[in-house]
Amino acid sequence: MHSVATMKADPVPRALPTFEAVYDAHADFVYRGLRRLGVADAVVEDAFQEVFLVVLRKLPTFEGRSAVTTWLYGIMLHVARSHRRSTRRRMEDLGVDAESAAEARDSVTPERGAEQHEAVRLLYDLLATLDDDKREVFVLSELEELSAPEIAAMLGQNLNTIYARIRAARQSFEQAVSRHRAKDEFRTGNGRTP
Amino acid sequence: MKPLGRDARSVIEAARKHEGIRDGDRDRLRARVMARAAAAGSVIAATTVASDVAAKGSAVAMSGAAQIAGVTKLGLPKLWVALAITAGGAASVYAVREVPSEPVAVLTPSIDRDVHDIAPVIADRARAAVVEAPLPSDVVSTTTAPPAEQAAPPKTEPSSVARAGDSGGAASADALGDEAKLLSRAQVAFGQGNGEAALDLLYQHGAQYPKGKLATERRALLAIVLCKSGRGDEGIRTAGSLLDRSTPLGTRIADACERK
Repeated sequence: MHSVATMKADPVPRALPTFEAVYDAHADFVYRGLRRLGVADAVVEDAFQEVFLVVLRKLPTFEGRSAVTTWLYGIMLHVARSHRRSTRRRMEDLGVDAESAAEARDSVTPERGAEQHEAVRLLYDLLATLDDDKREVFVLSELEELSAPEIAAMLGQNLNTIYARIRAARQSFEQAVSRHRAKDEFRTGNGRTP
Repeated sequence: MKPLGRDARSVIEAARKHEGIRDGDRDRLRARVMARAAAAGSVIAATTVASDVAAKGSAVAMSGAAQIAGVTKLGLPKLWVALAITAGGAASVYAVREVPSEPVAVLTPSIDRDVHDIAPVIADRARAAVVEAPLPSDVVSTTTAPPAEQAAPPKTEPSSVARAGDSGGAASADALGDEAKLLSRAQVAFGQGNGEAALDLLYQHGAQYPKGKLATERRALLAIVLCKSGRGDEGIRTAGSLLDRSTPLGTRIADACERK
């Protein structure tokens, strides 16, 4: 498995990769990244296609000054934000609150929900408790293992802002994990009863 | 800055091992991207497609486009090419060298592979789609060119063939090679039991070559795949006038759709 962090920018511009090479090497990375960034399972294939259509269109202008993964991540962030916004709008139009939407998430595609590994589902559920800004920096920092300066450059944000956001995101994620553990223990009867 | 706690870290590490595209979805999604790209008018060069399939190393040794590219690289001035999907279900791409006075159809199958449970489509229909396809020896290459080159407009300087008055021949040969390759991939996908991937490829063919040389073969195969996938009504509607038991092709479609 490769992450953004393991494929650092090459200072020397390289030969342009072909679309097929980009697809073969990064299809998993893009799919996983979109889910981590909060694109719902029901629409992740649409988002995935959008990312690669942008790749197809923009590849001739890709200068190779940054790693392909960094370039892809810029596209993924944009596509994921757009999908999150439209999902949110649809939910608002339907009068569905965030909690009900989260519960309904897997029921939209039950067969996929069943196939998705429990650990993956748990991670995505916990990530879903973070707001968009925290989620993005958390994913880039803890899952893609980028440094704060790299994240700041990618998101076009002040470095101190990124540090503060990472700190807050870690705290929120840990709280969400603790809440999950507590609920789990209560359900299985392993926790102390009041 | 305080690092992430051990409990939270373990949640991430446990999930990492199981994330990503599910088996079988990778090629299906690729086909969809290509279909949407084609619908949007993006340029995907024949070289790209040929190398794509060759690199995959699938059960079929080489795709039609890759074979055609190989023959072309030998420098043959003119070729006749066709996709033949035989009654036995084997996908074959035929390359025929033109004899100056009158073409002699010495068909040499470049791929001939049994594919179990493949829906049979008749070969004579495919052979009917044989067209003259003059190819300049320097047009097709199996190497992947950078996208910038793929998307570049045609050179204004005419090739030797174009100068001889054959402009457009190379493009038509490329298109036919791509058509044959797509149908061959659909056939193989269906033979491997992946009906959905086969449908994606056939729809992709329809989007890219609505009036292609192999449109009839596409329609026949689409009808058969639909029928064999439990979508009989849709398959029969797709077959339309092809569903005629007085023709071998119609008989095979009818058999697939279980029409008496």
